[in-house]
Amino acid sequence: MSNSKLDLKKLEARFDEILESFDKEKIDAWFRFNEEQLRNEAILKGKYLKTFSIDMEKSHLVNDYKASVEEIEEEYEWLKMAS
Amino acid sequence: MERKKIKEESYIIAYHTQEERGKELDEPIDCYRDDAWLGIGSYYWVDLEFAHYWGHDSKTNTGHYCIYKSEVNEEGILNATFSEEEYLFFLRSIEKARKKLTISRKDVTLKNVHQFLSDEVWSSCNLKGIIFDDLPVNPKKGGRVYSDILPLYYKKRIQMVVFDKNNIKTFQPYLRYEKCIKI
Repeated sequence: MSNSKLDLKKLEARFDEILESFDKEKIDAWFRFNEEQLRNEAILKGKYLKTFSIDMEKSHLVNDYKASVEEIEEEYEWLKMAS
Repeated sequence: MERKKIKEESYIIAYHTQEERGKELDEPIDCYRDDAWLGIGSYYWVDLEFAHYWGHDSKTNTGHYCIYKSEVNEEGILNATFSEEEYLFFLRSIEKARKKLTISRKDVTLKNVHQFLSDEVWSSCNLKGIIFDDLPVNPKKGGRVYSDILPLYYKKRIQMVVFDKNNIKTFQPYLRYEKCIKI
């Protein structure tokens, strides 16, 4: 059951229309945008960490980022809110 | 799912888990790009049980977590868990988007697909959110098993992402200072 009140036919037509407007160039641009956003977010998160340093940015964010993603995420969310 | 009717509008009762930091939140904290599996938005559990598990397993930095309760207007929220038609639309959308992305990259991930849809498509379609069942295990904390009859995962681990905060009618603290317990 659903109470979304969505008109799926209309929704799908709109979906297809939007997707159709994306050619290879636009998709390439979206991948670049996505990667840039991820990089910016990682650096921003690192900067909010108490222990952040330039070396951290290189070693921690680049090499060990995945290992401590939860710690970075929590600090980032809270410190960003507090700022 | 627990629901509430207010003036012909249907609202889902949903739970948002965060670390307990002593400060009361006014609104949910949005997930960001690198761990927002259905795209950037406010993430909720529709079962309190899973909201607690999330606190015990993933919101452990301060040793305590808190749970906020919301009434979320269902209008415009795709229910890909309990509506067959909406699930099939969701499935077709994922497949179409994945195919589209492969014109640029061969190694397209499901995360790429969801992020692309969230960035470029859903808001233009006026989609306010998505209800979908997550993996039956917490991939970050593999020890938690959501079944008493392994390997039968009979209980759906349902999440809801809300893209449009206007759909969130209320946001109130429900449980504070809950102690994280390791399994």
